[in-house]
Amino acid sequence: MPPSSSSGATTIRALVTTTLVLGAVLAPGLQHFGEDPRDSFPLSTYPMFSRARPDVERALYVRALGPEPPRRVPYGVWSTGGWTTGWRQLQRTVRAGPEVARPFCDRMAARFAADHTGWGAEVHTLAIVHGRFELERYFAQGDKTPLDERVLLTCAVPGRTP
Amino acid sequence: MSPWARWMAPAPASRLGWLRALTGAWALAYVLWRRSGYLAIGRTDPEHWRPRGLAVLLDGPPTPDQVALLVHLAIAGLVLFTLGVAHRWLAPITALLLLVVLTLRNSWGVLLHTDNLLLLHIIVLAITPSADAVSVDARRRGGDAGVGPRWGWPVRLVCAVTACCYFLAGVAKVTASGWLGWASGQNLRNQVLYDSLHRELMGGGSISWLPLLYDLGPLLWIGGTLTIALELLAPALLAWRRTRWPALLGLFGMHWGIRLSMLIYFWYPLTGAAFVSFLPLERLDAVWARLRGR
Repeated sequence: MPPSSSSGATTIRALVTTTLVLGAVLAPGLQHFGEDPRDSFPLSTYPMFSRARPDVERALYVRALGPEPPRRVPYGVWSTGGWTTGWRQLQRTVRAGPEVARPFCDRMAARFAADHTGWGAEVHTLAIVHGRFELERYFAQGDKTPLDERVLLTCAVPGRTP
Repeated sequence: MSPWARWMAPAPASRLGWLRALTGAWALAYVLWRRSGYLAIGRTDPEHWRPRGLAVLLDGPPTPDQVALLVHLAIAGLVLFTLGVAHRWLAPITALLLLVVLTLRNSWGVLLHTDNLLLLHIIVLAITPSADAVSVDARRRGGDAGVGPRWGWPVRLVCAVTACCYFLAGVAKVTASGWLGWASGQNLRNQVLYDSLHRELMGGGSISWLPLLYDLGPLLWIGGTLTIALELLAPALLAWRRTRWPALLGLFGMHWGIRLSMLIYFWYPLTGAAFVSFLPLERLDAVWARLRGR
């Protein structure tokens, strides 16, 4: 079949659709030149991996006390998403203050109370901890201990004594 | 030839048709594979609900039953989208369903950025005449359409959307942390380690070779510079025929680098599916005809 030429309707449709789609995709990029870029979905500013990271990082994690040595609680205990979802949920929960973080910690503790096998059965206390880590020491030298730590909140596993 | 004339240059309907069929099939396989994850996230504690995009219109998170219904409707829609059935009416509904499902997935505290490009491609293919060939609709009408301008620009629009997304990622990097940190490789190394630190502390797994990053000065410098160059220049590199293939290979390699160093899976580009719009897909007509014994 020979190529057909561009009709007026096709040209207008192409022009309108192209302008709207590319305009919508590119528009969030303008936010990078403003004060506080706000990401969304599916029209995104694509901020992943963009911010310069310092050599010393601050991190939040949950520690289980009882097992020797104490264990870090995996994200699957409080999140049904992947590890990034679990990480962000923990950050937001702590940021929201004790009135949100306390019941969050108690719910995790209740899950451990129902755990009767493995290291989970030995857990008597959970602690939400804020630590600082030097990246080079952590990765290049293999020293996984934090530079310093601050316990933000603790909660007891029901029915277990320290 | 002016840029607009090039944008409107005729193309075979089957190129766009194959693009719809392949992208639809990929999206269908992906949603089927992630189905249990989508259903599980619907059971997350409501306190973690952080609506994004269209989800801000909701009063609260949907119930698990509502999430399940939407996921299964999206799957059914993607089957029809891939086959090209009643495309004019059903494809926009399918795109809307996929938009809702993926928006809900991204409304629980973290925007993942892994599904944006796939969804944007599906939206473009849903609102353009992408079922005029390689579809049940075309078969009903008595065969595939031929060659014309109405089937050229939608493919170019899918390519342009791809280029724009990478360009925005490059702009984000330069505006947030400057050129120098990327050119020196320091930003690249610290990004990888920052991500790995949090992943390890969350119990999400570790990578044994990361200490080597402190011994890879020149490679990091090259990696950081290439990353920023590929992203910022993506529109030009992908538009120009001579640089298209190296750029595509570079972007493909970049996603494999992210997968190996950060265990982050951008499946759509990792499998190459995000880049098929740059290929002469109409050649699949002959392959398909041979397979059917014609």
